[in-house]
Amino acid sequence: MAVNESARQDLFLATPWMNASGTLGFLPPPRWSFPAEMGAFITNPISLRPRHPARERAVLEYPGGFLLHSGLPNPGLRACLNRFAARWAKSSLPTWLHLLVQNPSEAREMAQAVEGLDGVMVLEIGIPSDLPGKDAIEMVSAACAELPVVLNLPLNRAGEDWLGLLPSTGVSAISLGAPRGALLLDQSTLLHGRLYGPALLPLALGAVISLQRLAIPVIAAGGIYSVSDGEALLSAGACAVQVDAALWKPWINLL
Amino acid sequence: MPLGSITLLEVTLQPEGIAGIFACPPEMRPGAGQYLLASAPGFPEPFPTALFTFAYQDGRLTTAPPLPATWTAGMTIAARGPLGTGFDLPSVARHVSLAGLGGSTARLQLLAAQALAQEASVVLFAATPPPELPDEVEVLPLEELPGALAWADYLALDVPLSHLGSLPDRLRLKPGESPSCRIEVLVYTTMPCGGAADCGVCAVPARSGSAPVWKYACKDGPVFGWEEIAWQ
Repeated sequence: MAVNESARQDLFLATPWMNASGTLGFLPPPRWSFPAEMGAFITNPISLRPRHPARERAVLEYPGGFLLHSGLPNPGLRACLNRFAARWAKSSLPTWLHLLVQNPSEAREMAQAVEGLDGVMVLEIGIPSDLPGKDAIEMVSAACAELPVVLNLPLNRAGEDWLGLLPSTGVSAISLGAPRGALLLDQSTLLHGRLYGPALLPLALGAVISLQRLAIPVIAAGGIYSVSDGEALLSAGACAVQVDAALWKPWINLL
Repeated sequence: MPLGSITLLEVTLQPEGIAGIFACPPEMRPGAGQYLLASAPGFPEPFPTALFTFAYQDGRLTTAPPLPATWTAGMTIAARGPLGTGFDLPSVARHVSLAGLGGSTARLQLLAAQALAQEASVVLFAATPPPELPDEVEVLPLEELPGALAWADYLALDVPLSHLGSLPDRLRLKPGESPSCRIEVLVYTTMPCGGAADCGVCAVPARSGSAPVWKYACKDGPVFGWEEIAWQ
């Protein structure tokens, strides 16, 4: 546990609780009502160039969760820096930037572009969901420079062998991202997307335990819908937790 | 915007699904076309439900269907809102048409009441007349909707996002043709984040001047002026 405390310090986390990328937009929220104190803010995914919403964007609910396919729209790195960098600098919370990279050269270019920004303390690198491990290693290596780098890994990939090469890249931590899945949109269309919901908690716990083999700090996410869910992941060895879609619920104390 | 609680007093079954009657403070009441984002603490819904107003009187909010099937009378529901941009019925409108193109007209009911209150004639285009419709509202089949453009000075539509692209055809408007009356469109789609995340799943192709942009139903809408939407 002391190792996790040290990892949190290295990642500028005052508490082990934060949002997951894609859940609170590009700026720290004026109010965080989830009943655990927020230790850092992480932005929506930011790509080098602007991304438009997916043509077949949809939310498909299933028992225990939902599939979200949005295309991860964002205005691109340059526009994000123009619009949001001043607010990140003024935020009382450390800001983590989630960078959505497609290849090592993009990873290097984006990491260099954000170095030295006030308030930006950590880079979380999101990789294409089906990216071969060898390429993922190259991307993470390319992003590692001044700022601590966290690899955001879809939690269904936590058992893959290539992760054994991660410690050599200089990466500071692995964060678990939403796993990918597919559901029928209609009788002839299969929709692929990110999965969220309470049913993911056992998978997240399994992934945290599996990733202990790497001796890299793990930031857990998936299925956290209460403080006790997050505490279970912390007890399983995670150094921090990212709350995702549960943050969209109106959290009030009804007692 | 307020964050608070509402109490589910009664669950009703309507032709379009389950609806609810809530004790709701006035400051949380959604205007016509606005919504509350609500969830039942301790229940396993993975994201909150958008509640639209069907009617509001004396602190009792009747919502349009649907309601989560797990919610029961007596439950305290956490809610955020009112959220979004609602309908803006012109005070001078005297011929008001309403139409639900996704099978529901319940989200237009409050607007119908407001139009009647300002002594407008109201025509509702619907496949089947909704319950509790005031007698003064004339109901016409959806096939006659294009005729509304000639009669109405204000037309409010409730359209699923997936049907939005075909709307000009439904109104028999030629590409690029502007309608002859003011039109507002409630773009109905799932809005899981309620504007908190800019998640993009409710994105609507829109215009800012002549430039194409994306607007989000959850925070820029769900009601859009006809001229805001990019129709081609």
